[in-house]
Amino acid sequence: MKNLIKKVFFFSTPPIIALISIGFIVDGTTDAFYIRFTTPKQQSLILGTSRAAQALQPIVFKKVLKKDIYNYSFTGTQSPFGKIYYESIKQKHNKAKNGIFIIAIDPWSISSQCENPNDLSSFRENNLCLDNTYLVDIKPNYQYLYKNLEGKYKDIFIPPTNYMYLHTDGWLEIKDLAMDSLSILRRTDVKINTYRNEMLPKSKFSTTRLLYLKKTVSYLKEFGEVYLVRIPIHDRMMQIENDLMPNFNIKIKEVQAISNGYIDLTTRNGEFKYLDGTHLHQDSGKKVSIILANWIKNQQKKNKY
Amino acid sequence: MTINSLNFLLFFVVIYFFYNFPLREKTTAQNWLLLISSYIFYGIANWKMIPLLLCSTLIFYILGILISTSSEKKSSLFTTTGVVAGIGLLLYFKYLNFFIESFSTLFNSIGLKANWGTFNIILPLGISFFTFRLISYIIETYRGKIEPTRDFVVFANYIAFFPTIISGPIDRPNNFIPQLEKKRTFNYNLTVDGFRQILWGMFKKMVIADNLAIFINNTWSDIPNQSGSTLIITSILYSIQMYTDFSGYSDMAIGVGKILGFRITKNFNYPFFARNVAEYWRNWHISLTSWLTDYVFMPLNVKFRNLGKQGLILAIVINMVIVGLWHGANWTYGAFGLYHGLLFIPLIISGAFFKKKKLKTTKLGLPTLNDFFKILGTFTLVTIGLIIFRSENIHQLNNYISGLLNLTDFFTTTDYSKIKPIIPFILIMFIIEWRKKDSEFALSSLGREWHFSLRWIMYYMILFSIFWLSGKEQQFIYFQF
Repeated sequence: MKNLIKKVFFFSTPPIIALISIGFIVDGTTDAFYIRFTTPKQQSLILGTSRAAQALQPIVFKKVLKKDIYNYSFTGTQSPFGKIYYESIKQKHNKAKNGIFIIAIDPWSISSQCENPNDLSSFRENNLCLDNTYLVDIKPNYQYLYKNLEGKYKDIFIPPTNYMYLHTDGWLEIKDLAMDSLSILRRTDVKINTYRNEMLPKSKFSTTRLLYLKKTVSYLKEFGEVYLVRIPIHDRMMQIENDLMPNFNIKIKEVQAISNGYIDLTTRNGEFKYLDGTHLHQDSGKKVSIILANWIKNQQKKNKY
Repeated sequence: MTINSLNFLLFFVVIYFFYNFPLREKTTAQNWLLLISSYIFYGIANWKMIPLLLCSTLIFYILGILISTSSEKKSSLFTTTGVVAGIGLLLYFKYLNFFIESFSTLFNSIGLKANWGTFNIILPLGISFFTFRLISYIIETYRGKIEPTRDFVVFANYIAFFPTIISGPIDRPNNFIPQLEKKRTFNYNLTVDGFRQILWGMFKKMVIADNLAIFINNTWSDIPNQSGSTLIITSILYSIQMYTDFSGYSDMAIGVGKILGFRITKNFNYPFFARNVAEYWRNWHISLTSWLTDYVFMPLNVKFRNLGKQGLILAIVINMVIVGLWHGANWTYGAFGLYHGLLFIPLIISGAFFKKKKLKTTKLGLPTLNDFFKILGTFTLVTIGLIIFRSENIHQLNNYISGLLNLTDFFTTTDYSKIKPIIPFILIMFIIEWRKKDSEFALSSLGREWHFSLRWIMYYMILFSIFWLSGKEQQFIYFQF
């Protein structure tokens, strides 16, 4: 037995050391989420889907609002409003007062694609990273790596794409994508077709998701100010969203009422550049972040007086 | 909790620690530990089925004692009761809805209205495996080949032993129960061999089977849009996936057993090197085929012996249809069994069925040309059979075969980029298996004569390939059976 233990120890030491060291190699190029599970708990958060993840830049908010606001947005699949995102937000928040919370909302994040749109057990985010990673503030986060990089460990060493970088403040930067009009049109066509033909027919408004959006706002209100924003999108995408939920602004009225304010930037859709019809180019993202930060500043002033 | 998961590793480390340290050589306590672990393992998969497992174990345990202590007439009655109960369990959980649907369709097709509803029955995991163990125990007791155990914990362990309860191998009581009853002393060589076998099983499952699964599933989900060449390649790859998935699981289960000091029945013996279908079935899922040979084929063969070769053919065809249907309640499984049964006919007529010649190799270690073509032919026949096996219904099978034979756009390009990196590993696996085909499993003797550092480098390379290439975890194919 001693011989076996000795051999198992010597044999397993190199792979264990190698596995442990992998945790220190993973960075913002590995995938679009990992870094967000490795940073400390935060006082202020940006929440939403990939639109917010790519558009809202914490560095801009810091300049204008003098506050670190961490981007804890994921994607329309990972982080629509629901129990899973709600619980994860609670985990990521450090329970400190005087925070600022920016919540990006859109019709997709309060819709479901399952037969019963209110059935929590069939929500699309089940078993994905926000569901299976309880530890959201440790580095290296082996729980995340084990549960979410399964089958793609080589991505740690050979990043699958070179145009994506997740910053430590949670902002997902998309860079070096061809921005000539033909490439943009091609990407937009693909995206619009997917949304129009695949997602729209299946998507239904979910009262459960709206309820969780309300719960999220109420919870965060205890710790600071909560602002709602609808991020600009391409006009063609806007048409699809209007088809999905023509009365979106009415639907979210109750949520708006308990927040510190709501700004609908889709009224200015034409002013910005898009990567694919749904995501803003980083320059436009910066502009939107500045507009939003200044609007929040004004709201704060208004609320003061 | 799958056997190749980190959760299983942690679960097993805890068991192993208690098994070998506080409880070392305390057989009864070790058996209790194994039993509790087995029920936890089974319960994690579906705790609601634990009462079924426990009750059926208890009933068959009592039946075993009754059979051995009763008069001939009564023990025959108890045996029949046990066999009927075992088959009844399978029929109820696995086949009842299938029969209802089939008869309903049949009656409707001849104009009789039959709108029978099906039942909401959850198929207990591993039922096909543990009921066969239960039945085997009863029959062996009746035949007097084993003394029924008086120790319930031993018997319950035989039925529910955690490495094998979900997907086998289906151990026989005369092999496994004595191992549970006797004192188990630590055996260094057996333990290390167990580690090797687990490593080899993981390589087959995680590097080859899981990666092939994605490509194969994509093809099968969109058959009408696939070219003939893609369908041919997919069917070949499916044969390899089936083998690596199931034999990979068996290797891991047997390896875990070895680490705990048990020798579990071998389940595969390099079936893809078989030169005819009879040889293939002697080497594929051995624990099932030998079970059915003993309890179905042999009695049928005796019953039909007056019919000569026709009797033998009849017994084999029936046996093979049962082999097929054992996999599940679907006519395609029956068709798969029938197809294999029919493949036996030329072997019986020509006499090749009765010959058991050892595979010869040339000086270069290659098969002779004659054997090579026989191996290739058998592989082709098996691959065709597995198309039937994989089809969800006759309509899908028809689509697949039509697509396969469709010569227009036969070579339409398909994206093979995801499986290309796996091809060298498939070749490496087959080369190693061919070279080591006389060993219990390929890695058991590979590198034994090397310096330990070289051997370790080889193991590290296998580990690294598992880490680097392991595909998205796919459920073991045989979990559904």
